[in-house]
Amino acid sequence: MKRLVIGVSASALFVASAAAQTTDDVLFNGTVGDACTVVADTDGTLALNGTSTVLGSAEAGGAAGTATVTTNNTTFNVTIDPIAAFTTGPADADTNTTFATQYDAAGATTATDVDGATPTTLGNGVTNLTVDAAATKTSGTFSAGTYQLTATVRCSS
Amino acid sequence: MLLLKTFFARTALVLLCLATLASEAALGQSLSPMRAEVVTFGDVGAVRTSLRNPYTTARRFDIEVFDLDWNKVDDARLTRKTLSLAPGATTSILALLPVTDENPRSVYVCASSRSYRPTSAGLRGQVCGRYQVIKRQL
Repeated sequence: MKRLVIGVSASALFVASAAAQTTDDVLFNGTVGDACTVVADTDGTLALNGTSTVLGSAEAGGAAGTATVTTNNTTFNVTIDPIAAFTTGPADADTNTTFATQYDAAGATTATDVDGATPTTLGNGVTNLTVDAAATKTSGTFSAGTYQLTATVRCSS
Repeated sequence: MLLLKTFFARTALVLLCLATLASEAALGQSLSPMRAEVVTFGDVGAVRTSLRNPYTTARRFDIEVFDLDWNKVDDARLTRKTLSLAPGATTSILALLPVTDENPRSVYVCASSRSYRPTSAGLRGQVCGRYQVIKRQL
């Protein structure tokens, strides 16, 4: 009788131990979508060249604008949207005037002196862009007044 | 007992869904999703995307729709073309696109931030998601 009790107890302990060791996985699923964030950090400043024919951020006294583009994959491009006209300026601001933009990229993407309309594939991560803009008179010179133009940094897939 | 189990199972499912939504909303992206396909059986496809303000200050955003050659799409209808968003805030944008002979129809929906105080050479950030409207016949 004593042996029977010991045997049953041992079996019960074995079963309890086996039950305690049973494991199962709990799965956690998640999805990260494609992401591109553009933050225009600092605006630029336009300055006039010596002959009053170029109003640009690369001229002496001017300053380039900066932007930060953050992506989480390598399927995005960056470009600068072509500038068609000054946002504000004297009446003859856009007359005989052409516009150009150029950018440099550092960080996740490396590029130098790229024409604004030329797309550059962005690397995965944070890209720091330096953007220059210029307006050039093909004929005549810039009149006195306050000028403003806007360059748009575009991230697209 | 069965009712209690069902209650806990449903609660767990709801919490899982909320956790998934929260993890997506926490991403610092300007438009989400950036790519999508919309199937319609009618003459108009509806593209819904979320716009987030990644800046630390309130910004004004312009919403535009372009074709793949970057021409403005005039027949697209937007719930809002211009809006202001608090820093970190998110809002929903709905673009209604008529289905044309081009099927599927691909467009970019773009959100451009605008500074309240631009200088002589202002910079704007623009993020463009690519969306496709596919018309199916019943």
